[in-house]
Amino acid sequence: MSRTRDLIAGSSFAALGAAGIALASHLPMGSMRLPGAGAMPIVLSTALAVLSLVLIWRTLAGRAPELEDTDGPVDTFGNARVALAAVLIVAYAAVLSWLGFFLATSVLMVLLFMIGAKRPLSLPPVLAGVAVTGVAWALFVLALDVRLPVGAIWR
Amino acid sequence: MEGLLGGFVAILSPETLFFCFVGALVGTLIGVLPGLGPTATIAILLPLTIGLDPVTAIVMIAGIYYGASYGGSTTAILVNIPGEAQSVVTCIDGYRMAQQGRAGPAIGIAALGSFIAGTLGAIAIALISMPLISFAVRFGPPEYFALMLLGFIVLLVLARGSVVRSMIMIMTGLLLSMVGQDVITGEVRYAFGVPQLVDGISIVTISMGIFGLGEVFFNLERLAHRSVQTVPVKQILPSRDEWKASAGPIARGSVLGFLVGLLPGGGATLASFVSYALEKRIAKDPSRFGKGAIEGVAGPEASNNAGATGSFIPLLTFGLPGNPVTAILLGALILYGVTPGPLMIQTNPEIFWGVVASMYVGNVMLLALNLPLVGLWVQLLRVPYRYLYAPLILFMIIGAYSINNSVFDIGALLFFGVVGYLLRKLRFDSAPLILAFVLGGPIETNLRQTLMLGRGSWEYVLDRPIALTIFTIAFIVAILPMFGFVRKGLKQARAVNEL
Repeated sequence: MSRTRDLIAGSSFAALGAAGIALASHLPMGSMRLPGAGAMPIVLSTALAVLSLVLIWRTLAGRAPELEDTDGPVDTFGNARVALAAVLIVAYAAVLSWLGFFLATSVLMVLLFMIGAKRPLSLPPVLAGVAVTGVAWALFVLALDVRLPVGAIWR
Repeated sequence: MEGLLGGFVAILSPETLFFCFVGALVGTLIGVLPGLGPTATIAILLPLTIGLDPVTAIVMIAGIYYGASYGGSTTAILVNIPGEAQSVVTCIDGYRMAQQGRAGPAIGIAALGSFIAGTLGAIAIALISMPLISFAVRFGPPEYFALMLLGFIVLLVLARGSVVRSMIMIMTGLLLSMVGQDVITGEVRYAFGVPQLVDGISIVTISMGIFGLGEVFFNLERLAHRSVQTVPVKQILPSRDEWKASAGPIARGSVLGFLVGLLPGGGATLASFVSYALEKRIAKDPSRFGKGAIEGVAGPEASNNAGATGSFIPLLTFGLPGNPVTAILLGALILYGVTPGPLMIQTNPEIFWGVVASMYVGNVMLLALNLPLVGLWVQLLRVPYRYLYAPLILFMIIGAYSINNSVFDIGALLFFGVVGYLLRKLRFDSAPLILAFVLGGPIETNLRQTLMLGRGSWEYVLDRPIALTIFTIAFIVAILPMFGFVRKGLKQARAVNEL
């Protein structure tokens, strides 16, 4: 498992390094006397790509230290829960300006509570979602004077 | 001392003290949750300081930090789960004490030891900051570049786990810091035509994403396994014998921790490990360690607090953070329009001394508030995580949005949250990435200015004794691991670090 993780990580960072080199290649490199905007990105991207290849090579050669699994077991739908939470945050960002803080946040909170609830389709997640939104609104808007979107549909 | 008194005057208003109280309270509230350490807690709660004036905000952050550190120690002692690396050592003897029915004295000595160390640390900062600032004003680009290079080398030598993985994190952090407009030529780099990226990525967003949201996502996939069993807490105050046994370790931990905290890459974690190793080495009966020795809690807890305080010195005097907590604080200060460094004491004396005084006030608040409330924290440990993650996510969303009143920052928060989650799953330590991200801009600017001043040649550095000395130290530190005895020592230290 550790080996697979290292290979995934090494490949991802190598790709990031390669992308960094490609994207910085059109920037002026300058000279030692007057380094340009592209010099540092090229050097860093190259170093990242090389280090990633070293990680891959060490893993394939069996020279990378085996990392002990101390994370604990993942729930049956643990990964799905994280993916769903991420999708909900994207949707929230998309509708926040339109629906406004209170409505958009209430919906987000209710759905987030549902994700982790033992009985998702029950009243507690709904009540908790609305309550948390109310407390957050009171804390940030009333007490700390933070400006949060009112919502285009309410104007 | 006059400046320190001024700092106390600036922060001892009812409003500031109230926010310090709230900071310590909510800091403990979040920090006590298993799996959430001080760095994640500060990242999550940073939004609470938005809208406050800079002095009040900094005092509140100090309260959050000390509260979170204390909360982490409580969790380490009661349930044997360290919120962050700095509490790992506390688990060893603290949890054994709890199992023996001595959870109260363990928590009590952790809080009192931290308070004593924090107080001594605040006084030490007040005493040595001024001479260091007079020294720091003589620094030019080569000296700053040399200092940052030394910081990265020390970080790599002391890195947890593989050096290659740490270097990958450093390169990624430096590369992320390149996003946005080049400060020297004005060229825009890695912005993909997105206007919001022209000013670069906000340190607050990246910290909240990687440390806060990433950690919440990581815990979200383990909800069923997040129930914890706690032990009962009775008498909090240590007995006379326990005090007697702890006095030496607290004193030694305070001095040692402060000195270790000054090192780039040092701070609370390293300080606690060094203190534990020292106490075990000088103990009359080292076999007691690991079986509930109160010295194994008192020394490391004092040391990690002193280390945390000492790590503020490079930030306040040179403007260089030495660990993720000070990196986030640097981001917060910049957010409030304050640039830490040698000139800060002239431009913002109330904030400089306010930060120093807040360390002391934060510790007092912690002691006055948290010891009597220890029963509440024990109860909180039993609250299922399924009730907590949604409000934590909301805090971070509001914080990200409030930076520029833009939904783009919510997207950036999510992006870095996913990155933090993946890094955690792939066993990468995010701390070097954040440090490199914060230092990326200054290191590039100072390197390029050094090359410009030397007309492309490094011979120019030979005429700069301070820079030359720091480069020499950096070189020595880099080659030290090649010597067998150092390599052996580092291997042992890393083995303890990986516990």
